[in-house]
Amino acid sequence: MVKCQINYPTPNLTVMELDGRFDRNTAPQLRRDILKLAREKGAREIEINFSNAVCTDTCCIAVMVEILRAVLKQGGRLKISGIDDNTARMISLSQLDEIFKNVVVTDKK
Amino acid sequence: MASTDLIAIRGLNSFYRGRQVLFDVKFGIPKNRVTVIMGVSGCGKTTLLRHLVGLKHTDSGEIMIEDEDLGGFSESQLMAYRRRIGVLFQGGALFNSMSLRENIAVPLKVHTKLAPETIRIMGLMKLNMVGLSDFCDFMPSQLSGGMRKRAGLARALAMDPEVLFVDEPSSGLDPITAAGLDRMLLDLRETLGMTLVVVTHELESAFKIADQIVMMDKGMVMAAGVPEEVRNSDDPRVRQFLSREADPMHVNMDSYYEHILKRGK
Amino acid sequence: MVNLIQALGAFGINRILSLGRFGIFFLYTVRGLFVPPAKLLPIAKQIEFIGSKSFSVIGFTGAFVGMVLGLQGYYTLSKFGSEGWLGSAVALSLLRELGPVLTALMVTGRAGSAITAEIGIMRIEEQIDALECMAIDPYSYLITPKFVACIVALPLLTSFCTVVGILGGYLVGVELLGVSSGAYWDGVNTGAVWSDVYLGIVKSFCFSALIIWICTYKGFYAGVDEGSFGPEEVSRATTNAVVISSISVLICDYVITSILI
Repeated sequence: MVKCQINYPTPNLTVMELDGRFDRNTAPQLRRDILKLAREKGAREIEINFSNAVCTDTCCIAVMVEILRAVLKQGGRLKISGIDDNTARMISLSQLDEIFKNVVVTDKK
Repeated sequence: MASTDLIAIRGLNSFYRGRQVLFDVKFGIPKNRVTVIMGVSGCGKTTLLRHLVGLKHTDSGEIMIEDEDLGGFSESQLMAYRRRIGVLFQGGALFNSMSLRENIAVPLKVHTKLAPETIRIMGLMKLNMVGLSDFCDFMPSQLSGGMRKRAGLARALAMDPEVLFVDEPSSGLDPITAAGLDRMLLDLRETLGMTLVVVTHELESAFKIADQIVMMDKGMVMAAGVPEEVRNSDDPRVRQFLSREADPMHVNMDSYYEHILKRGK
Repeated sequence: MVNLIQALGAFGINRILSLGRFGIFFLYTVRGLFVPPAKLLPIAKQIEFIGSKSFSVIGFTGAFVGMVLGLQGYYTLSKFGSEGWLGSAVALSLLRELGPVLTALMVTGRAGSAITAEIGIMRIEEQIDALECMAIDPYSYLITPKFVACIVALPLLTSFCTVVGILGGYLVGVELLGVSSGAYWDGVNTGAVWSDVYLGIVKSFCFSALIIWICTYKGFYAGVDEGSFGPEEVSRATTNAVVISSISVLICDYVITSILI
């Protein structure tokens, strides 16, 4: 199971820390939770931290796309941090670098 | 090497309608590597592939999948094994009544509880990998053979398989698309750590992508090893295949005469 | 001589083997009901294909058979001066025999052949192998929805055929030939009792299972025995499926009638 811890450091920023395996079995639940959050209120910033999560298949990228769409629709901003090399490679293999250019933050790891 | 073999084939004999088509085949398929099975048409490559994916019953010999014999699998074990593999058939084997995107969605719909929208995006991603995202709403009958084959590959990849079996990836493709496909197979190995088993008779592409080459002739393994070993093999049949010499007449003359004489009766 | 005996033995063994396979095919199909994937939508789609798209064909069949029955019945009955029985004659023949049999034959020709061809093409193009390699049970995914749909659709089509037929008989008998309307409906009411309706329902259920069983089986094993997977195998399978289904329907009709009458 993936655990999802939600913090609100500032009123406009929501930080989600994912912990666990993010695969096609755990994706549906997680997707529902995050999308609900992303659609909830008006414009704001959401940061999803993958540092402790493992992405094993492409459905995780697909869910990221969905979240991004939902956030953009609300006029918000999405930040994805802490993804591993493998996930980054999957993104570029799917030729989605352009879409995630300003979203994925690859500072550490 | 042996310890990292994902699949080990030992002494496999195979019969088709009373005729033996595979003779004591044995080799290993190492994990995270590209194994290319090569040989002239009719040498038993496709039969071997059908054995490996469990479509053909093992008559004698063993196919060990991580130390368990495929021949002794229970139905649920076989199903579990098949969820880990992807197979591209020669003709693509797309479902005619569905568009490309629906085709790719089939395994995802059956095996996962993902939302339709997630499945749609995944389908587009897979189609994009094979360069067909513009054609997602086309029906298979509206596409050329090469495109159907690539779409079949996209479908085989839908479940992110650990092992991908590919039957003749580049036959019927133009050289440029074929080269792109080879590049993609290598990408898959590197990025997703996939194990690939590719059946082909295209020399050039075989040597480009292979980590290991298994050369077959008349149902027997002639040579198996890294490309360099095979390239330097002394076996006359291997040399002949590599230098693309025409086959000397190896027709069984006795049976030829018998056929001719029987007609006269 | 030895060859002949050998051939005869081989023929016998092959027949028994394929009969066994035919039975196992049915068991797998039934098991398919209880295995995922969910089948509601596919079943609905198949009901549309087998059922609602057959409406016009069945309507025409029913109407004209009813009209012919009205015509023939009138001339036969009028010889004995009992035209009043026309209603029950038409209703009974349709309910007990013609409705179920003709509907089954028409559905075999229209939907059964298409189903055999569809599954046969999937077989020769390795699509069924592809399904298996995706860890999808081809019986559950392909065959079971068609089975359920046919068993739902055929009895409904049969009753539609019968009703249209009775109306057709009315059209000819009452409107054209001048039997009194009251006598016709009274004949239908008194002539046809529950046991007649019951016989028709039992028949149409049996026929529906029979034709869909044969048609899907023939498609599923198209070219497997011959070991060749060319288009001609599909056409052969389709022809076989239609011929065997039609004959089985007629034989089954006799058997059920002799048991239940």
